[in-house]
Amino acid sequence: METKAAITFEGTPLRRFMRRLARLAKEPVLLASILVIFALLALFIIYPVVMVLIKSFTSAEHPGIEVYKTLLSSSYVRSSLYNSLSMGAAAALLSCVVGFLFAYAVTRTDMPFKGFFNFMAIVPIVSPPFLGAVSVLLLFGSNGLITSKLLGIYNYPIYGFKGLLFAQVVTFFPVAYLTLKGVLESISPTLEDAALDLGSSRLQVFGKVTLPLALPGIASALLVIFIESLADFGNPLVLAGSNFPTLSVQAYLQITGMYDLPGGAALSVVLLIPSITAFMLQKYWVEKRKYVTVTGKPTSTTIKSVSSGTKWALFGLCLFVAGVVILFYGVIVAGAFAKLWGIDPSFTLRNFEYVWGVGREAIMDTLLIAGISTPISGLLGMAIAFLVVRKSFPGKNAMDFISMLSFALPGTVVGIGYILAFNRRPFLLTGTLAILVLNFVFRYFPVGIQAGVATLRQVDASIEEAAANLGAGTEKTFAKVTLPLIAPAFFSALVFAFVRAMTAISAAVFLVSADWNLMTVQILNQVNSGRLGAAAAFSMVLIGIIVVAMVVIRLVVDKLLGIRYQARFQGGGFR
Amino acid sequence: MSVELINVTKRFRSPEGEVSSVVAVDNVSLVIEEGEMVTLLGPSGCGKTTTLRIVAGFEMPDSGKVVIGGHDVTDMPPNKRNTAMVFQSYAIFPHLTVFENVAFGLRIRKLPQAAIEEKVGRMLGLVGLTEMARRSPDQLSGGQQQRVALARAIVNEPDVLLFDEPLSNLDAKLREQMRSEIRRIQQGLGITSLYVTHDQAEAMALSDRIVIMNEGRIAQVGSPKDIYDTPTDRFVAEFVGRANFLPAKLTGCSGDLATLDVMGRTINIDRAKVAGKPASSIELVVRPETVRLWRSSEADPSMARFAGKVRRALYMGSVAEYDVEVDGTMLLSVVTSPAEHGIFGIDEEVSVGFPMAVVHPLCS
Repeated sequence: METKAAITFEGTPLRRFMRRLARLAKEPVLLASILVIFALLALFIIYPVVMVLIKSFTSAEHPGIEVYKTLLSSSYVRSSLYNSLSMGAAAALLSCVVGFLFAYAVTRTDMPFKGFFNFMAIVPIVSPPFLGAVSVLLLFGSNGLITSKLLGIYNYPIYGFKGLLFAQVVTFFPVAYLTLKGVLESISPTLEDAALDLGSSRLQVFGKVTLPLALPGIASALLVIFIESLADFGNPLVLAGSNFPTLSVQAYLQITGMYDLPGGAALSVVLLIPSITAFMLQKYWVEKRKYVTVTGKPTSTTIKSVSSGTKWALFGLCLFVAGVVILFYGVIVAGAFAKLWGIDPSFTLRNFEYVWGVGREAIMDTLLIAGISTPISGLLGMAIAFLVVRKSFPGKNAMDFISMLSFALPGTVVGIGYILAFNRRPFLLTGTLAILVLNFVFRYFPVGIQAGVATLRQVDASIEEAAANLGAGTEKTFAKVTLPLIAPAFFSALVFAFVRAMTAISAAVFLVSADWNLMTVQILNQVNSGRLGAAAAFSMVLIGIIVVAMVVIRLVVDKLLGIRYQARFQGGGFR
Repeated sequence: MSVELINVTKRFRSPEGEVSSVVAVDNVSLVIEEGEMVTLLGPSGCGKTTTLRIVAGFEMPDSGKVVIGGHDVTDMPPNKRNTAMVFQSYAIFPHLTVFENVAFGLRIRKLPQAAIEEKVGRMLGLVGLTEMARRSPDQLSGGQQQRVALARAIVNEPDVLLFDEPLSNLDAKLREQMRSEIRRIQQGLGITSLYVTHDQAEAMALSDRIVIMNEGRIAQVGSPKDIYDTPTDRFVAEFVGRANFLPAKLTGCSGDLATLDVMGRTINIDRAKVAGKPASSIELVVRPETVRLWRSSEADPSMARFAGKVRRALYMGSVAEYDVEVDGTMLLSVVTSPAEHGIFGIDEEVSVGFPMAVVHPLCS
């Protein structure tokens, strides 16, 4: 009996904790990485947000919680909040409907041109988020192709809810499409076959099997787009106009137009609350309800659950959506080469000469910043994914949470936070290259983490245990085994980080300076001064760089990791 | 090198991190001598794999110690221990060739290229994969992948070789072949080995000693013969092989013999077998292959014989199985070469019995 008691004492939580620490201390590189990552997360994610919160309380004559009472009593702020929320809800709903139908058509029918539709749905993801707004102006603006040329309506009121919703749906439906395509692909068609076999009609199969199984995925996509729509800055800045104020734009104008930093901070906090709420719902409520029907082997679909009429209706819808996407990019190309949009359509390279003249430095700056932040962001993402999935250490859940949190922070909040946090010693970074690089690294690594975590969960842990068993320490295991195994996730993390670094605007707009400027900010300036042709030419250059970069990243990843990772992993070892 | 587990205990928290926890390994102490092959055998969830992973360093015990070659390695991470594991899923690196898989540990130790080529070449020869050196793992069969895993573990000359159900993914024929190959290589190199399996035939064929585990505890340690012939409790007797359990009473002792009452019969067994067991409640383990059936009932002083009736008969060529009812108790008999010993039908009245010398008493 005495020995039993001693054993129980030895196993107390405190002792376990101390022994886990002691064990970590034997792997100094692992311990150091964990500590450094925590320090970085605290400094570049938590600290700026805390600074925004603190600053917001000083925005009125009576600092404290009173600030928000005053703020919300202003009808202008209240309507901004209402506009942001209703736009977020509408954009999320409409994007999900379009994205779901698109995904359903691609995964559940044998309609023609699926590859083409898939491509058209992905194009908007690699473009600057406000490109939609520029296209909407070119199409429906005062000299718009459709409004003035086709319909003969001049000064159509495109500014406001309608125009913004249109631009956001084209921008965000691909997010829903990609999420829901994954969800629908993971629902085994044999379940639908079984329901048909049991006597359900096709409509019943959809309503009682497909839709309920996809529901958690739909909810997740809704919340993600809601967050993105709230945080969107470029589109509302261009399209909202003064009669449709939104929080992200108002916070920016408060700071840049009225030099009222505390006021801007307070507005951004109002924006932060619904974003965080949606994030928490997504992470802790929706994610837990996801159905896992993955069987390991993809089942070949027999496509019986869609009638021919439905198929062609979906085909028509896809054709229409693809047409809109083509139109959006077509007018950008046309606008870039037109002398004066809507008035003199003759061909010219003047816009590109102009872009090269005023934008050369911004192009170089953007490339440099994206080039530095991309590998850091990708590697950091993979490292955190590795630690979170494979290692056991105190504070693991906190690391996961803080990393993912940065996805839910609206760019406006982060931008303001960075100005507040890094404007004095020892962190004097304002106006430097570093502040832009750091901002991009810590804003865009969550996608890499997600991809890394998902891939790593499918890799048998004993492969890495084998490496440790053969004498490889944590860092060697990571470099020689883990990273090559999750190369596909690493690749998508790098591409995403690069695309976002090239196209980001909402936080970056607060951080650019005379020395370091970004293409996106330049494009927005051109739009605001009415030079749509120049903005279009600038956008084309930007998209061209992204396409080239995707090819380059692919080659570099293949070369560095020295593997051919396609269709390689079906072999032994993976279970 | 020898391996010693001293009072090792490991609990797992339930996934939600609630207070409730499962004791996976409960106060296990065990010594594996140098060059010995010891098998951990038990049903799934008995803690055998966790014990193995504690030796490898993948799990940290909540209390107790792991000593390898006289050094306490309890808090040492797996990469610092000179143990080598052969995984159930093989865990071959899919992005490396067969050669590079085997060379992995040597490269970590920064051996010169020439030494690596020499050692890997010799090892691939030992497992018969010389031709496959440049292949990618997905071009190998399951048995070949298993050989790569074995070569990769042995090439590093580990202090201890650990096997985690390495043959469970192979088909029956290959399993038997690999079994003797593993034993041949292990004995040839004299590496101390710990082997986990739930397959009793594998354990019997491979081991110097078998450790039977149940619910995190060691139920019995012994040679394959000890475990089979003299199980310490009902669990071991039932888990290894098949067994009849017959209730018995100790009625008296004279000289070297003890007299027992079994189902109304008096039988005499070696007195040493019942030493220290309570008189009233003894249970006899009788292996079914020792139970025989006769049509006539002639007396034989070395046999315990009963009148019974065949209730189930199953003819399988090389053996026949019978359930014989004696006074409401079922006796299972497995008769080898039934053609020689007679084939019996259902409801046939028979004499059934077993040699008194082979019974093994348990405390019930």
